[in-house]
Amino acid sequence: MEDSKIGVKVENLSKSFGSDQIIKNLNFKIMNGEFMTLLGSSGCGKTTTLRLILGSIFPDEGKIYLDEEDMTDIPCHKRNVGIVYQNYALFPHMTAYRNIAFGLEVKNEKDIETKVQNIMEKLNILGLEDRYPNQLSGGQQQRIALARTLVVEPKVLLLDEPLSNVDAKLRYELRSEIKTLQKSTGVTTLYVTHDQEEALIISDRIAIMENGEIIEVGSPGDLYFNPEKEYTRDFLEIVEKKLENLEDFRKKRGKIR
Amino acid sequence: MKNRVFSVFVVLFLSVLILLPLSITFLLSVVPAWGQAIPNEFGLIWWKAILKPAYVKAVFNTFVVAGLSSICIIVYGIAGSYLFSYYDFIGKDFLFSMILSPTYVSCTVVSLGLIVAYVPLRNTLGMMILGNFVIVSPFVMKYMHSSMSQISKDLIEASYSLGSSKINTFMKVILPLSRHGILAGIILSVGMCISALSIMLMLYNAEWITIPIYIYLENTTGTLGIAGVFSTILIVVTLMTVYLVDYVSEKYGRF
Repeated sequence: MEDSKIGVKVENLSKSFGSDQIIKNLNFKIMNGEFMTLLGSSGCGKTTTLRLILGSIFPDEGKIYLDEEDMTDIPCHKRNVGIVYQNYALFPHMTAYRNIAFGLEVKNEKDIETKVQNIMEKLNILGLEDRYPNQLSGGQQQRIALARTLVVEPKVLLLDEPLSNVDAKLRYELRSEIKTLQKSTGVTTLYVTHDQEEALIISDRIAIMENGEIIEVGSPGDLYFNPEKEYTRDFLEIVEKKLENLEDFRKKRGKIR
Repeated sequence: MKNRVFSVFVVLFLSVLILLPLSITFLLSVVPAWGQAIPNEFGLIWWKAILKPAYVKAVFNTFVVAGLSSICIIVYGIAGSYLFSYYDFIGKDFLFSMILSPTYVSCTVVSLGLIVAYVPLRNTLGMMILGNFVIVSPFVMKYMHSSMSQISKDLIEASYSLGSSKINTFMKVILPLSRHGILAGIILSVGMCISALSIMLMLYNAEWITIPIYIYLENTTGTLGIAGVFSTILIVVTLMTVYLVDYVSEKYGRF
């Protein structure tokens, strides 16, 4: 990972809404193909950071680089950054097939049907082509949303708490599928969650966020066993209470990998 | 039991109070001469009479004025709703409430303002269209805006993130998802423009007399039969409009 190129670089990023400064001089890098998680409590600025990288809002100060190219002022539709939302955000007036094909049609791609079929097969959602979002379960909708995002081969994949709306069993399954898909496609991924256990299990690296700032960045093991900051220790402590022991944590993480 | 009887009586009384004028309007159109309390002769002479060129022209004028007004109102309504739903700018809320203000002011007052403000347009077809535009567009804007602003911002962002431009997102995501509000706005606009009287009375041009103006003029000269026919047509058009608005809202309002 050390020798690979930088997929996402955020430099001195700041963003305010009115008098509230949501993001304060944010700096971090994600290497190409890396799975990084922004972990923090609600309202700490995770989603705002995601939307800044997506390009749906623009920073007051600072720079955003994607594949080492300055994208700070580039509008969202020209960035080739994919996003999957907590609420799936599927187009309700389109079938599953049309949802997935949407990005390919916009870009006038060839072999749209083949590409859609391939991604649907990968995500195990073949047969749902003609269904509308309101005819699909939460898990199916999330898979369609993932397929729609991945089929256009984005430079960066942003996941905004994508598992918050699914039940525990499905969350475990989808978590595993997301990780497998990310590994197989090699897409640089930024995952946003407030769930400590999820972050520790799924990520290559974790950035702990608090009040619009990154407190500490490190691998799940480093942050879990040797946190440098008191806040990180307190924030991750809850995982020990959830899992019976550290062996449980290692087992869970092992299953994902 | 007494309360129940009283309630039924009140409901019946109110129903008669509301429906009587509408029913009599229809009766006017099928009674050749209303000389006594209860008419003893019915016929279609007034319905045949409206086939005269002057009356046909009134019908034609009504649809031309309503059609041209509605085109302007709908284009403005869609563009304005998009602007107020998806852009932030200083004074947005104030401007929006100003745009909607004609809905709270009397049509006569608005007409007077138009006559004074746009002197060169006085007594022209343009002024009639402008009058409809000022009075009707706020209602249409309300419908369209409430429908468009309900679309989740995540859907718009998702579309952009998939490489879709603003225009493409508008055409393929925003318009289809707000279509029930837009259709309801179109129907409302046509319905209101067709039946507009108070504003048209202040602004009309002799060449462009519309059905509501004819009804008013016929009424003042005592020719109630023709007024009855035109009124019946307007009632039918209005009821169809209301039905269509309900039907469109029901059918396309849900996914």
